Amino acid sequence: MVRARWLSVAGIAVLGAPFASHAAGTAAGTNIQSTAQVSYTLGSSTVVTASSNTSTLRVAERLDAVLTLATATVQTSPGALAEELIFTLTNTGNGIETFNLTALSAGVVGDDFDPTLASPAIYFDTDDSGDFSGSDLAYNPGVNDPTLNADQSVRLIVVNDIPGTVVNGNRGRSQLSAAAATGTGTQGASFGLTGDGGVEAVAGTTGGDAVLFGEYLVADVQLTAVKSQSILDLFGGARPLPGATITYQIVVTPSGTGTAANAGFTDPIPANTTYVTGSLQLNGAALTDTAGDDAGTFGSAPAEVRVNLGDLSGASGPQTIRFAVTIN
Amino acid sequence: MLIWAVALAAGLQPLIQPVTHADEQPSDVLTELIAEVRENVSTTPGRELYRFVPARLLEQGQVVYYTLRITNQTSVPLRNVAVVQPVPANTLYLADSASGPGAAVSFSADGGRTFAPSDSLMIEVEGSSQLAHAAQYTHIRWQLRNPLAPGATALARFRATFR
Repeated sequence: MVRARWLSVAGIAVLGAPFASHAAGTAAGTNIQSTAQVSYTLGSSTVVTASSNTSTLRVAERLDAVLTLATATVQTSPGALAEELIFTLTNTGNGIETFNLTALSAGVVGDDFDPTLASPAIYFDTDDSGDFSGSDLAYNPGVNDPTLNADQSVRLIVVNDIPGTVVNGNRGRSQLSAAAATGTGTQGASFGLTGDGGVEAVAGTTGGDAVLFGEYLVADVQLTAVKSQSILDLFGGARPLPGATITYQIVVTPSGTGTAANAGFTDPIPANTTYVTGSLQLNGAALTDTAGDDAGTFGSAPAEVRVNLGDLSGASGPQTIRFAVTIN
Repeated sequence: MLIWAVALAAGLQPLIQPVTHADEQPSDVLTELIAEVRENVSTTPGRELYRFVPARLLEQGQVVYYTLRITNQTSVPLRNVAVVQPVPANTLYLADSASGPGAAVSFSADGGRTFAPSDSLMIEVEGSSQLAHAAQYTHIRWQLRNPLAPGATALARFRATFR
């Protein structure tokens, strides 16, 4: 019975706790209350229960920010305009915080060239498209500084032009900084009672700010193709007689830096020849003539072979394509 | 009187709830709960110094040191003294931190319905029974083994991490 009585009290204490939990931690300004229940026997059999005082602690506002990049290295080319780096700023603190943003391209160490910041340089991804587009709103310091709830994120785009003088393989860095408007400093630094609801604001593990650079890589990947042929005539020789089979081999070699996205190979079937059904190969593996089921296709109008080579970079190495025709 | 001074210094509002039994005399047992945090006084390597200061404001990850003082202000011994303390919301009980001289400490992981020592407190997970983690504890109970003499104070302590 004694136990049952305490428990009812303890149960209320738990149920009545009006706390919202965030991944970023308990919300700033939350009260953390605690009360103990005591029971004892007085005299011969009288059981008494009592409560302690309620200890109340208030949760400080922790200022924290994290920046991430959609793609750390973006390929570009000499003289390219409005090249974008896509950042995401997350308020990892436990209160509502406004952040001041700064972009920097000149003087970021560790690169080969300085990209040129566009003016304005920072944009919100207003249309939520994941890249820079005409309807994206420019960031205007002091006017539309992003205000984020705990755990909330905003996508930001930093735009640079690439100088025309850069060469293949050059890297240029551009960085974005976000600083909590309430204050930044070493972990634990206090900014007085400036937090949400008048609680103390304290710099968290990130110091209340975040800095991250993205990189432009001047990528000039080149694909070279070398075609060779061998002939087998009906008499076992190598003369180009009607009925002879010509086997073509094409070697596509990527070189330079960067990636050639979705590289494709197309070769028309020469006049006065007929494609040998099922003869198409990529790197020694047979491909069907049907479109869509693998990388290879034979198209009859116009007569040509097509091979989708995918994304090619120097690391992909040479790609060997073979197909055969017969002389009409 | 010392106890009151401590409570006030701790920035808390001492409060004795009326006894729940209407036919009882008022409680002459003072129970107070003090929350403190450890503060670095010196961080010189090899000479770290800490002090405990009343907790008012918490930061994430901070450990709160809770102390319960139970003082018998009556003229008779109290028997079967037991204290039940819910683990405060938004905090996690720190393993092996509950102590109390002369008390048996047990825990609950089911909102205070059942209590058992830490090495035998089981919870049901998807139909199978397994040992509860400290972070799953909901309540802590101290049961004094001996009667609390008039004028004596029993202490019960535990720590919890604020999350």
